[in-house]
Amino acid sequence: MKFSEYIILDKQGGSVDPLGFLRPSGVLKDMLFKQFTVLANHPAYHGFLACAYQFLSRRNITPAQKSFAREFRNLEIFWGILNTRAGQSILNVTKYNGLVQDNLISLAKIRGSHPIFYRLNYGTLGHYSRPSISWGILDKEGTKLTELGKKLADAYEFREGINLIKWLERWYSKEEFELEEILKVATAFRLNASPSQDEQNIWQEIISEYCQRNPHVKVLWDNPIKQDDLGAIQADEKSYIGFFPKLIEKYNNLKDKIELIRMFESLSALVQFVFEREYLTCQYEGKNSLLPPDDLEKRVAQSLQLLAADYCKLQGPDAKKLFRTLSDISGYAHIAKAVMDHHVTHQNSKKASPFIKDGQLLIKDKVDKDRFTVFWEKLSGEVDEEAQIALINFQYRRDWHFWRAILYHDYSRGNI
Amino acid sequence: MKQLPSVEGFDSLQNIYSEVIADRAKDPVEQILVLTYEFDDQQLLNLVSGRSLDEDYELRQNDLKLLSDLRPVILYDARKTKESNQLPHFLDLFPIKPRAFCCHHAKAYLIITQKTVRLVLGSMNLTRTGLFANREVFQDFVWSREKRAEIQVLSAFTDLLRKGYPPLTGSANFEAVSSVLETLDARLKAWEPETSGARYTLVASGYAHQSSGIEQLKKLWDTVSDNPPTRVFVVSPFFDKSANQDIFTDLLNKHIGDFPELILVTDQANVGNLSKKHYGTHCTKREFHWIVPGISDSERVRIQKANDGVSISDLNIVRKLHAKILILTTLDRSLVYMGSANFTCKAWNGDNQELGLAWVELGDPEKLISAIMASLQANSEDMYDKLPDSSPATIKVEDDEGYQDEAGYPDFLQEIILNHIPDSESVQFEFRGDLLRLYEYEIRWSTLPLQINGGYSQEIKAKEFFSRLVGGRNLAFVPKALPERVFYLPFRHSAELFSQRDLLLFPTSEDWLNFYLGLNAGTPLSDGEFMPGEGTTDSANDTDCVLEVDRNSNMVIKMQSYLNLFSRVEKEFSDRAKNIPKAGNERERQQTIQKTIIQPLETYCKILDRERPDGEAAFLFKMGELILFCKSLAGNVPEIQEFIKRITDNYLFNVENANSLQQQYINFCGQEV
Repeated sequence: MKFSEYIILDKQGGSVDPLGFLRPSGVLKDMLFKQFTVLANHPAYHGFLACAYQFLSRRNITPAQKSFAREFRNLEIFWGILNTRAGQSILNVTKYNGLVQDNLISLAKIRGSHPIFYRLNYGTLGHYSRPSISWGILDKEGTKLTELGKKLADAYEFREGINLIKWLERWYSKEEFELEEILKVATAFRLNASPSQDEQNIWQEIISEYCQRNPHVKVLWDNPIKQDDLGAIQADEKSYIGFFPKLIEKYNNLKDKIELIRMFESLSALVQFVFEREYLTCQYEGKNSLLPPDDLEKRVAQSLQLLAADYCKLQGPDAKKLFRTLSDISGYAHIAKAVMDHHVTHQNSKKASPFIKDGQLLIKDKVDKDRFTVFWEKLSGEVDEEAQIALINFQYRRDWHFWRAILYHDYSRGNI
Repeated sequence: MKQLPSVEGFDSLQNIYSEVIADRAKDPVEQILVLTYEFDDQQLLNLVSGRSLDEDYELRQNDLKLLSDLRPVILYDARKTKESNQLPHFLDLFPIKPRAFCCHHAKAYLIITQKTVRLVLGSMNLTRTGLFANREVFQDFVWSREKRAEIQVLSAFTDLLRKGYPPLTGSANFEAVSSVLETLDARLKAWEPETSGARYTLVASGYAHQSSGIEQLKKLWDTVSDNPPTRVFVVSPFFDKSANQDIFTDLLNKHIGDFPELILVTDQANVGNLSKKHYGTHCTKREFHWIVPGISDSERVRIQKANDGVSISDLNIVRKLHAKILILTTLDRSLVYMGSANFTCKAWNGDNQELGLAWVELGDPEKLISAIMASLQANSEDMYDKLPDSSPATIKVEDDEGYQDEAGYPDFLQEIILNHIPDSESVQFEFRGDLLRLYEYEIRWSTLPLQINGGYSQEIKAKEFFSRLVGGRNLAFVPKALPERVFYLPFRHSAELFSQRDLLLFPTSEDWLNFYLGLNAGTPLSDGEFMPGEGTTDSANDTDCVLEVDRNSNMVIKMQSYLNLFSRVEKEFSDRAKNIPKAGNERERQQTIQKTIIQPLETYCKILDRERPDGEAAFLFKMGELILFCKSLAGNVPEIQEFIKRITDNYLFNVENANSLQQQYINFCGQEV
């Protein structure tokens, strides 16, 4: 007899993109931080990735072979166990927790169908190989280490006099370890351990070379925004008004790009707001009033049209011509119809069902009513026009990777 | 015999299913059957699509064909059909229509892979709360050629499906269940039971071929003791609604005898539904333990560990009790039941369909009870004094196991079938039951109003079907006298329509091409993921690109795009032809050729033929390319010659009014083959 465990949903964040904004926002993100994705959260993963590539290439195992991902995972399990042993939360920690129940661990003891081998893309290889390509750690196809990547592998290999490769060799040859025996290695190579001076130096070189290849973003790394400052300007909707102006003030050479990003964020926020409102109104029609006052409708419609027109003039990346369409129409009803039609087009193009079509709800509960209601109450309490738009912008703000940049920058200087 | 401890800790259907998915390359899923009271579309969709159960997965068109081949079966309570859903066609939904105030309450998850059979029995429905949040109880089994312990449970479950469900599903086509039964029969025949003793007994109640749950419990108790139990321990979220009428404790007393001690455990929030009268008249020692809302620090730590270490400090975790456990004890042994049955009369007297497991546990019952209490975070303090003397007039918490139909529910309908109209591209709904009463309703299929005449709807063009490939699984019934009410009823597909499903799953030839292109696309990647060496960055985006081919562009561009796609599909079929074994079982070889090459290509011919009115020249060109390609396959698979001749005669040589250029092309293809 077993009891059910509580499962937290949406651990990886929303995967559904009902309006097709992932692609244009990706294009804009790449203008500043091409080397990040939403899944790249810690530079130490790159060090391990480089080490694993080096280890496998010495055995002539490369991504050209079908077994590569599996062999990579075989190595990653050891690193995962080290981190779990050191109390660190790492990708797949749940599955590693299960593996450290016995005092004796060995690759040979892990059966081939163990859940750790399910979804090989969920882990260091799947999440960090593309960012490693952008950083210049892997070649363009991700098939082998670059010279920089080899240097990173060499630097990551040694910490506090411990050679990780030697431990990986023992693990890979299916030697058995006692958990106690690996404690020292775990402490040295845990995710939040300080990188060695060599590793820091390599990271500085990686950043420097990246900036040489992309000189326009050098300023982001020479003069990174401070963590406290970033926290302060993203604290609430009022402070968030200053977020983009602050960026422009700090990085004037990137003014056009940042302005484009600002406009996209605002546009996509207003569109998302219209979409969610229309959706919930359809689902709960007659049961719950989610209709904002007419003046807010007007305000949203006007802002959207003007912003869309300006954005299109700057030729910002569009989502299946949605912004172009919005720039040509006025009035909330027309705009709402255009947004919902766009949703149908986007869902159809990825061969997924629209949530709502021609006013008919096809898939319910795709928008969190409680979250929207809380937001709506806050919005209703605001009388100032600009403040309302600012609130919508803040509600649907996006991650532009500045937090990641701080983390990577600090890591390269040993500030962990 | 050495016994495993009864309380095995914490797990989830999600984990169990993850193992199945992890192994699917070597051991593919062949069939899925679910018994449940209700289901959430998303969780059902994830289960049948081989996704992690907690994903917010959006079904893509390419999944539809794979799903229809799997043909999952879901048996659930008819009145829990929901208003709108995202489910695809060719998924067999069998709504069970129990009597008033009763329900189909059984919960079981059967997953058959090529090598194994898994069965999970317990208290959880296929819903988000059931799978991820509630406090539920369950037991899982895996059987294979090598693991045959407790296979009598599978045998009893097979018997239940065979005898218990046909009467409940009326005249519904039981083909899909029969197919599951065939597989189970074959496995049971091949996997001889182990000679060592069996522990578990399946307890199914509310099925015509079986006695009631309480009678089965009585029989099992007779194997434990000649005397009444010394103690009864109960975990249940729901109790008889009025302790002033029949209560389950009295039923237990009547069948098993008077017992002196009764311990009840439920959520603190359920206290309003429980009273001292629920303890009956014979118990002298009475205890009540509640589970407080919120979770303890130790449980919070455990949950965090079980969830990849994700931060849960900001989460308001709410867990409602939904587990059902009943234990009858002597001083040194216990008869344990866990499953779907609440501590109510109708759960045990045969009114509801209920399903659970029972077994005898040796040893001190106190230890078992303590372990269960701890697992459920039940308060050790006795709260009996907090209970009211008798039931309140109104019940605070919604009962999940019984209700009266809302007025206007179209229970006069036996079934609704979607038929294919022969020699046409249309479908039509057929209604069976008291047809005159159909006129009391406005009936629509999504946005399409249905006009009913003599039990049949109007003819519906295939394009209407294509627009509802996902999300069009129910018909809406609005009573004309009660226009504010809407009832949703699922329909099934006729056997003939099912056999032609491929034609309906691929609205256009481009969709067919995309499906076969997507088969080897590798693991689906989430946003931001990338696998070196696999060539793609994002399956969704790739699909997007392929589908963005402008279908209205000029002929040359259209044909270039087509050739580009077709050449990639050619590789898929060339590989299939190469991989067909040359020697060995001739019958198997012929079957493989039919299934993997001829049938899909024949479907493709039919789809091209369907598109023929859009342009004879394009049809000729595509058909000619296909025939030439088939000729190249014949090197590895000579058996395909007859198929080539057939499609050449049927589709190429019957072109009328071909212009001279087209005739030259037909002649060229004819000479080539």
